[in-house]
Amino acid sequence: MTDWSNIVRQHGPLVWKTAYRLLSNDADASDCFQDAFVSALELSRKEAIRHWPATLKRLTTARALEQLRRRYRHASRNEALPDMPLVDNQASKPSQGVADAEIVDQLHVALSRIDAIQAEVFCLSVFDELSNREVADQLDLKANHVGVLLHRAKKNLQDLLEGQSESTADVRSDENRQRTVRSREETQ
Amino acid sequence: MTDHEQNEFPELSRAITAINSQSFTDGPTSDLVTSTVEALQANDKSVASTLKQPVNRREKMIRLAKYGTLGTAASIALVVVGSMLLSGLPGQNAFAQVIQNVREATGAKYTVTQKLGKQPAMTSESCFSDGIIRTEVAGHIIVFANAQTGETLQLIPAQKLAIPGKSGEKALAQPLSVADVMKEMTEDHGELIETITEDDGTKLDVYRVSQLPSFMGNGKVSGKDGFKVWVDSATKLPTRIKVDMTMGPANSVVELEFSDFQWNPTFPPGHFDMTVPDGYKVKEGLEITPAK
Repeated sequence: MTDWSNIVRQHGPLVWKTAYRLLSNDADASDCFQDAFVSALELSRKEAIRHWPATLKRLTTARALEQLRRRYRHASRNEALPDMPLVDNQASKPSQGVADAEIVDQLHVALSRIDAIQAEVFCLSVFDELSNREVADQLDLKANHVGVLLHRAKKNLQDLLEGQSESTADVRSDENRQRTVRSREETQ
Repeated sequence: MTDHEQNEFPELSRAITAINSQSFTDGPTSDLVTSTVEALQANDKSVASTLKQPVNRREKMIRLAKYGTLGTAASIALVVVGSMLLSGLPGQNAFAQVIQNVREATGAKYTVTQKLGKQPAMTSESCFSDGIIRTEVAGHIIVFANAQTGETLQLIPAQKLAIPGKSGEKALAQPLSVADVMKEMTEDHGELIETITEDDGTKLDVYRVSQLPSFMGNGKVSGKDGFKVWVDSATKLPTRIKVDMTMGPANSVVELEFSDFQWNPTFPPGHFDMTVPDGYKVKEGLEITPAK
C-alpha cells in the first residue's frame, strides 16, 4: 500500500508551490493541493508511479489550470481583466509590485484561454523547468512535439498579453480622460 | 527564456519573471497535510470499485477536513463547560450555578466560526442534545455524530447524498459528552478576569482558561485573546467562547469562536434524526479519525 503520509509530507511543499504559483491564493491552492493528491491516488491504482515529483508537478499543474479555466470561464477576451488593479498614470510612477501583480493576473487569464495541452506544456517547461523529454514522458507525447507545442503556447500567450495590455491601456485612457474632465469641472 | 525569446515575447518574458518572483504563502498547513493524508489513507483501503467520481472524492476530503475541525470545535465547547465544572480557582462560587445549569441542560445551539491561518473564516451552526451533535455548514452539508455509538452521517442536500460512517475508536474516545470532559479536565485552569456590561445591559463574567485539554494534541493557547469564556451573570450559562491557539509542527494558527448560545432550546421534531432522508442516495462512508 502506498505510504501516503510520507509522500504528502515529502512532496507537499512542491505541490503547494506549484498550485500557489498558478492560483495565487490560499483557498484555491488548498483545493488544488487535495485535487492533485486525489489524482495521484487514482493514478497509483492504475500504474506504479516511478517519479513522484514530476508526476505531482504534472497533476498539480493540470488541476490548477482547470481551476483557472473555471475562474475565468465567464470573462470574455475583450473584457478588462477581473480583479486587476488599474495603475494610476497620474501618480508619479506605478509601483513595481502593482505592475507585477497586474501582469501575473494577465498571464493567469491568458493561460486559462489557450489550448489546455499547450498551457500544461508551457507550465511544466517554463515554471517547473522540466526538459522537453521529461514533459514528453509525463504527457505521453514525443519530445519534438513538445517543442512545437511550447512555441505555440508562448506565441499565443504573447498575443493575448499584448491584446490585454492594449485593452487595459484603453481602459486606463478612458479613466484618465474621465479624471481629467472631472478635474476640469471641479476647477471651474 | 533565451535572449532571442525575450525579444520575441517581451510581455510574456516580463510575466514569467514576475510570476517567478512573487512571494508565496507558507504551505501547506499542517491541517491541510493531515486531512489530505487521512482521506488518502481511508480511500486507499477501499477497493477500486467503490471509488467515487473525482468531484465527490474531493468534496469528501474537504468535508473530512472540515469535520475534523468541527468535531474539535464541538468538543471544545463541551470542554469549556467541563473546565468550569472542575475549576477550583477564583470564580468557583459563581460557577456553582453554571455547573448545575449545564448539567441540567437538555441541549444547546450555537454558531461556530473557525479560521485556519490565512484561510477565509468558515461559519457553521451547531447544536447538541442527548449525545448527538449536529453541525450544518452554510446549507452545504449537515454532519451528525452520535457520541455514544460513534455513528456519523453526512448529508449533502444539493446532491441528495447521504454518507453514513463510523467514528474510529480514537475519535470516539474524544470527550464529546460533559461527563467525558470532566475526566479530561482535572488539570485545567480558569480564572475570572473581568465583568463587563453589554450595550443591552447584560452583565457578562469573563473567564480565561490557560491551557488546552490533553486530547487537543500539541495545541497551545496563543494570541491576544487566548482561551476566554463569557458567562451571562444572570443565567450563569456561557454566551460566547473564543479560542486562539496554535497546532501542529508548523504552529498553524487556529481561531475558534462559539457565539449566539441558546441553552435548552426547543428543537424541531427529527432535528437529530440520523435516518437517511427519503430520496437521498447512500454512499459509502469514511472512518472518521480524530483531529490532530
